[in-house]
Amino acid sequence: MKYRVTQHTHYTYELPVSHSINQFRLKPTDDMKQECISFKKEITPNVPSYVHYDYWGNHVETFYAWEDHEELLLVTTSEVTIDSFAFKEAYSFSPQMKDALFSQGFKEQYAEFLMKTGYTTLPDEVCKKITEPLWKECNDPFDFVKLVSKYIYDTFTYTPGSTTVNTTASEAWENKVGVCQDYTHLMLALCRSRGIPARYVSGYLYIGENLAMRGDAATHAWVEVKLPTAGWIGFDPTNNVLVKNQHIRVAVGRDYTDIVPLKGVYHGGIQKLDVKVSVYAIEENVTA
Amino acid sequence: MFKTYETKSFFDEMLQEREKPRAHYQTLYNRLSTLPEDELQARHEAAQQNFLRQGITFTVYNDDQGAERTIPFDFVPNIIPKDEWLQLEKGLIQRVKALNLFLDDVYNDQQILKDGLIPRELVVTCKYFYPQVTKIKVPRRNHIFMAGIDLIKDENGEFRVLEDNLRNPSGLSYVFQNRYVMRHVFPDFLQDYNVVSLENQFTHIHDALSSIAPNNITMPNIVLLTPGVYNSAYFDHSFIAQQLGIELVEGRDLLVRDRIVYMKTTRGLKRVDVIYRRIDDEFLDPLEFRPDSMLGVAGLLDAYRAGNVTISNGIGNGVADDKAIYHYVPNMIRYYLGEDPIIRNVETYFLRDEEQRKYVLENLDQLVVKQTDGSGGYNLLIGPHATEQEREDYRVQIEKNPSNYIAQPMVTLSRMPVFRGEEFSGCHIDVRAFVFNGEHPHVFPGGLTRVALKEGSLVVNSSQGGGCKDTWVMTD
Repeated sequence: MKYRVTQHTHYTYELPVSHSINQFRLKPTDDMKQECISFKKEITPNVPSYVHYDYWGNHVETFYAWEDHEELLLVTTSEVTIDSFAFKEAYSFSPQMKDALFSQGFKEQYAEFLMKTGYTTLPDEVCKKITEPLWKECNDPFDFVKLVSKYIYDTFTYTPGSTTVNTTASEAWENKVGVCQDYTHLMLALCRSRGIPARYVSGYLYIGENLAMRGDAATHAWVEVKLPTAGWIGFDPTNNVLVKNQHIRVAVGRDYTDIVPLKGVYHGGIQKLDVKVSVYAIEENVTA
Repeated sequence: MFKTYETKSFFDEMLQEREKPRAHYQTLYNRLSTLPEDELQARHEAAQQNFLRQGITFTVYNDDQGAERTIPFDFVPNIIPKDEWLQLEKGLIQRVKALNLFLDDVYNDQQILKDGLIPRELVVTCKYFYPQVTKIKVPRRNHIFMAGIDLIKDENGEFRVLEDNLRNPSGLSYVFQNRYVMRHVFPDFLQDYNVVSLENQFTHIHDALSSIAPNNITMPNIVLLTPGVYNSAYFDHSFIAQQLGIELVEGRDLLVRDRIVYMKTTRGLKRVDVIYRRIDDEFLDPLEFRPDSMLGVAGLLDAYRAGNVTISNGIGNGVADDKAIYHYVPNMIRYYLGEDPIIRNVETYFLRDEEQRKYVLENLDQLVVKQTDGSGGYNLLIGPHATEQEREDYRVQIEKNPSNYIAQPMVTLSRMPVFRGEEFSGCHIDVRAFVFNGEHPHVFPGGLTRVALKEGSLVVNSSQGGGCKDTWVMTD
């Protein structure tokens, strides 16, 4: 699949602001499964930006809007192709793989994605209560992750505006409502509590004709887990689906803190934010 | 006055046994024995007054009164013979060199973790590991401009490292004040000895800071970044800035524009090349660390990343002085330098390890237990001195989060005489040695001798009722 993604991030300020320093992670990932053919950004006011790659391999840009301005507009346009054959429906899980998953070496290698972070901390007894029946029921860890996704999907009510970017997994759990970010943090906490390395993924979702899919308003978030002999496998608990070629990956990290799409510090008063995202399929699957 | 002084089973710095001083203390011993008690008392009080007059105070946290206090000074100096010091110097340079290589490795290729010498998990999940600073090319690969290494002597009189401080070690100003007071109130004591002078030390320190400027600038603009007057170590900050002849600034005095750091002056903006910062990592830059920080400067990390400014000590150093990592420092020395450690560690048990935890919990009454991310002597358990109830409470804490704790055998720190009016009594000491790293490593002669003034206490931290002594390194 080939997509064109356009994102307008538009800040308007009540009074002119200055001394603004901003950082964004909006460039789609470029790797074996997904190719970022082009990436363009347009910043208003017109200022240069500086690129670096962070610890997780994400593309980051920083820019300074120093003079007085009443609005800040960032338009990013990317073209991405996703290899449709890189995804499998199922993973056969051998006993050896299970041993490998819980080995000390595996634990050490993916330690960052097994830790509790500010967003993913859930009381141990809650983790236990939720995962114990699922762990008993599942055939293997891959199956377990699917069950966790389903559990969250069934238990939570998707409610835009019910939580904020600062809501933690434990707060979302209290009310059983949230958006993709909350579903993701909760799933990370549950997978990690059972020793399955899991990371936060931010990106875009192509909905097309499928009106049943949620998460279309702006950027999306989901989970990737690491299982032995497999790459990172994506699960989208908000839609309870296995991630395939409709999810466009942008950044990964331990939780939201590591992948914040755009953040900034400036001198001045109140801001209003408007984000618009459009994802178009410009080419259907092309068979080789 | 020494008639009643007992060395007991401890290693005593001054006396081999009752009324028998070690060779390098003989002269001082004779002098102290001949001076009348009331004169010593008068001079002792004059010394305390001197500290108060100069406003050398520190703030005690966790204290409802929030009072600023002076650190009690004791006039019996800690004297280190030349040979012993030279050996110690070598050991300190070796240790800091290895720690610096470790930091450079951990924030770049993580080779030592790949080679399995230190559990990767311990490092990358450490609260002080900051992924934000990976792959940043630090000038001269210098992460540790200033290290404060806490040393103790065990019961055999052998120096051991108790703790490394690689973030913002404080206390340097007290070393100078101790010497200042010694010179003014006890000049006769000093005249009896050939002691390495502290006169040129700030030249060394300034040179070290200049040598780590980015892009090999020759006359860099260096500033000291402080959190401000309410910080417990503010006296230290202002004293050092003054002695180095550099600006003392707060976050609001700096700004970053297009990856360059500037200082606001009455004549406009002035570019800053080196920041000797005394602000904790997470408060440095609200863009990339704590967004609520009012102490830092937005964009600082971006300027650091661009190679336009040196931030010293480096960001993320806490991963190397964590109490859990301490255990692995001897391994680091062997790994990076191919040498055996010159100064030994104190044995450490990890509570994250089930077997070791079992041992520790069974022997709480004989061990000292510390939080791995704690400092300042807060919240530690000294098993042999704690009550049954205190040990039980601590056990509950440990069981909640074992990885957060380490334990060490109760090392009986060496003791030395402390003036108590009618007599001298033996108190435990440690020494914070300072190592500066610029073009070449340099060990500050002596350091800060801290003394546990509470009867029988082993905690020397000034926040826990510790005092200090002058430290003399002999030139002959």
